Amino acid sequence: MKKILVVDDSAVQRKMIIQIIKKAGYENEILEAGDGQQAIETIGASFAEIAVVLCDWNMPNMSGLEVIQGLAAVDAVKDLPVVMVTTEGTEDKIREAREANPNLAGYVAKPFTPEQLKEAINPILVSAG
Amino acid sequence: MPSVNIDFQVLATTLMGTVSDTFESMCKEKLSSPPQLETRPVEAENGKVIISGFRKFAVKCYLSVIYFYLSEADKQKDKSCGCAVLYVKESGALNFVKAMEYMDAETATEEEIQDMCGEFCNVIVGAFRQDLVELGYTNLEMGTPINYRDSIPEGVPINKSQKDYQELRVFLFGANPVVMDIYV
Repeated sequence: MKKILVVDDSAVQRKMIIQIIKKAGYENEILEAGDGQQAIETIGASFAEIAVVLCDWNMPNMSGLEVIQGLAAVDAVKDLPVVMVTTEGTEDKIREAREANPNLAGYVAKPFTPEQLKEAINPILVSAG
Repeated sequence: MPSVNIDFQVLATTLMGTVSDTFESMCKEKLSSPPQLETRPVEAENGKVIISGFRKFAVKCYLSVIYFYLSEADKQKDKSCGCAVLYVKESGALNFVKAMEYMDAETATEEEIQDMCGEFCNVIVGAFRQDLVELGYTNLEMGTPINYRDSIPEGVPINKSQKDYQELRVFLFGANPVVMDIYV
């Protein structure tokens, strides 16, 4: 079973997302990254084992936008499903994210309900097997 | 310092809704009563407001501040146009930790509690920023939360022409453990 990578500079936010995932019954192993740089390193090492990346936008060292731009530019990972999970919920920001990565798999604006997060990741995890 | 001109009465309803949604989604806690939004006079010295939790609660508290910028370029130059300061009473913070199933009240560290308060500030301000964008401040950017304990010793810079700020009091757990000040 493939893994889920949760990327957010807030440890509390990561814990909340992980709890939602576990309570929803997903048994995937969960990886964590505290900023964009760590996310890129984790993806670089483990991309073949990752089913989906849940990624915040505003983070130190490297933003979520820079992460998804970087992924879009590399053939090996350009199709890696990424769902942005962020306070940046305006139409302009959503458009900016989709332009940065046309393969962006989803967008969840904070504050979100567990149902909204599950709705975003369920189709991805089901097709990942 | 750049300035923004906002009618908070227009935003009051959505701001209060955002606050309610944030606490309910993050810790499943509904507000005890509706938030109270008041306009208060700014007390500044040399273009800076002294921020002290003791002025709000007279007890120890956690503080988080997020700065606003009129553009990405201003953000890069750290040229803010205002800020939001979240105060969380220490006892309130512990109640939040207990309410959050994904945090352990017995082992939660100071850093985790500060992170939690910073994330409350981040989510509330993020949604508030969306409202401002819809009002026409399309390039408005926000920073990431900066967390403190009890006070912000260096103060927060504000536009010298700003006479008022908005104080939002939030009621949870049958008390008022959270206040947000918005200088913009």
